[in-house]
Amino acid sequence: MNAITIENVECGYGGAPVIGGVSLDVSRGEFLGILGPNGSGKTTLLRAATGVIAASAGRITVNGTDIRSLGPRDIARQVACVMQDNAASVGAGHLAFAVRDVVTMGRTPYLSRAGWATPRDRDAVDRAMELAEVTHLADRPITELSGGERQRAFIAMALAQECDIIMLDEPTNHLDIAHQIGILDLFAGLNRDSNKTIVGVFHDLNLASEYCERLLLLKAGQVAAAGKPEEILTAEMIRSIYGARVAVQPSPATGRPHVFLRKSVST
Amino acid sequence: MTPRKKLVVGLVVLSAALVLAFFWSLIAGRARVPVGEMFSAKYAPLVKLRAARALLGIIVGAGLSVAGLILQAVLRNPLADPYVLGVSSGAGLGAALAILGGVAAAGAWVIPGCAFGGAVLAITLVYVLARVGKTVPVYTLLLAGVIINSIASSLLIFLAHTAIARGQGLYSVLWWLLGSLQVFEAWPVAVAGMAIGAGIAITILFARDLNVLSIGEEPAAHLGLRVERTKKLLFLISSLVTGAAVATSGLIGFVGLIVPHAVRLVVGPDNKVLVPLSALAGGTFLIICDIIARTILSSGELPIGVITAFLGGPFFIYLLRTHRGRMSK
Repeated sequence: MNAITIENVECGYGGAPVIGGVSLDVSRGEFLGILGPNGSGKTTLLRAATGVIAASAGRITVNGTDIRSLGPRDIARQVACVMQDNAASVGAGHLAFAVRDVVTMGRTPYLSRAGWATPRDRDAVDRAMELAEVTHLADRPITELSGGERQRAFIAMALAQECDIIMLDEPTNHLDIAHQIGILDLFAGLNRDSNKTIVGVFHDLNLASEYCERLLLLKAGQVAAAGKPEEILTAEMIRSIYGARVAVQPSPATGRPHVFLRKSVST
Repeated sequence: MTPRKKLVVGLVVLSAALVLAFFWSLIAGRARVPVGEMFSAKYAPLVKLRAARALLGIIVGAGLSVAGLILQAVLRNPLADPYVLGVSSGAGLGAALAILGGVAAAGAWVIPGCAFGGAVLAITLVYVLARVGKTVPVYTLLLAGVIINSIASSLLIFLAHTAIARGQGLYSVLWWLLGSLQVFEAWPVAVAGMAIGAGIAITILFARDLNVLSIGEEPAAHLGLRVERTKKLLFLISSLVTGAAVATSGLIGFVGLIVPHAVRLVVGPDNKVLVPLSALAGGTFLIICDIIARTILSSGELPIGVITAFLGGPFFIYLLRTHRGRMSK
């Protein structure tokens, strides 16, 4: 059984569909990267696959069940999301939650309206904070953290959901190179050791090449290509999809293809 | 301290404060009631009147505080109060029409009824204006609230102006706009009490949703919340609770803004703790403000809105200052 199947899905925001007829199978334990130019529908596809927006045509299943027959809480117990860091959304001053409170929000799909977090929930929160390495920040207001620390706190929140499938939407946007590596190493470890299925949207082609087993390239809401990084990340492909002139060479460190940009102005 | 313990301690402390304030309000006033004779037949009519006022204070204070708390969380705006979405100006217009139109004498229900009608009309307009497809984005909602507020205010000023030109007194309109806990009949208090009580009870059940919404709608959706449905329900509760409070007591300002902030400063931002404690704190605060409003002048009574704003204004400025300091950190 696949973790996620997407069959001929069409979706958008009321106007012309942003995604037009995309099909994709994500097998269990896979680390898949979704790439494509700005506006190609990467995030929209992710939002459809998590049920945040409804597909206007086609079918999406999560762990074998049609997403339309799952309630949002059922989905949130199977799929967790880490979005790009959004400092604006965390409140300020005395409105800010402590890191532990934010991570505890990851238990929301398991908690009843009137109920409080149980010891079992608190264990899940502790484990998630340990995995994301934010245990030492537990009592700090989320607003007082650096961008990298804050993103780790939100990763811990997603881990507290205890889902088999984790979706990433440019999770290392705005972060420095050490945090980029640290955070993607964390997901690579979860993928290898806990067999978590990871589906990530990336802008950074090299990051995607380094961490993903398979890449999906979107253009204008359609699948332009899919395959191993070596098959997808070629100079010709990037030129035809992104309209950018680049050079591609294997990384001296890992042998994975790396993209080097070329400027078009001579100096 | 776990949130649960915080809630228990807070409930004990604030319930005690509320009971104390309630009994204080029975004896305090221009005619002081000796503590020993609080329940004697001699003072019974006076004490009964004051008890009704205090009860209305609890209902309105609790309602406005919870309504403000809801909007602060859902609009993700610390400056939100129960009146930002137009409920107050709609109610004000309704009440002013009733008073200046000369129909208020038809019964005790006329002013509360017209005020509540105006509130419902205003919030319906705001909702319709703010809707984009099936969603209600918070920014369009805030904007629509501001617009309806200013249109209704200008209509109110127009009404007041024509009333002055006709030589009609504005005293009762002004009195209503500034708010008062005067109780003329028991049933409006009972109706408002039931509506506001139900609203607060539902809000307590949605406290975790408020927490999750306050970190953003997209993350909330990923945590399994039906965001649009929850938002609409919470807006509805906040509006109806505010409408019920305003219809029975006029436009008492600042309570719904400062009480949630004050409680938050002490117990933190967890709405599971905040909702019940803000309700208790709001009720206590309004009783105390009413005691001051009734006793501060040697003759007559000040509108309670003057006291809440006079206490609330400086606190609000303090909040704004410290808030700015923390944001720039």
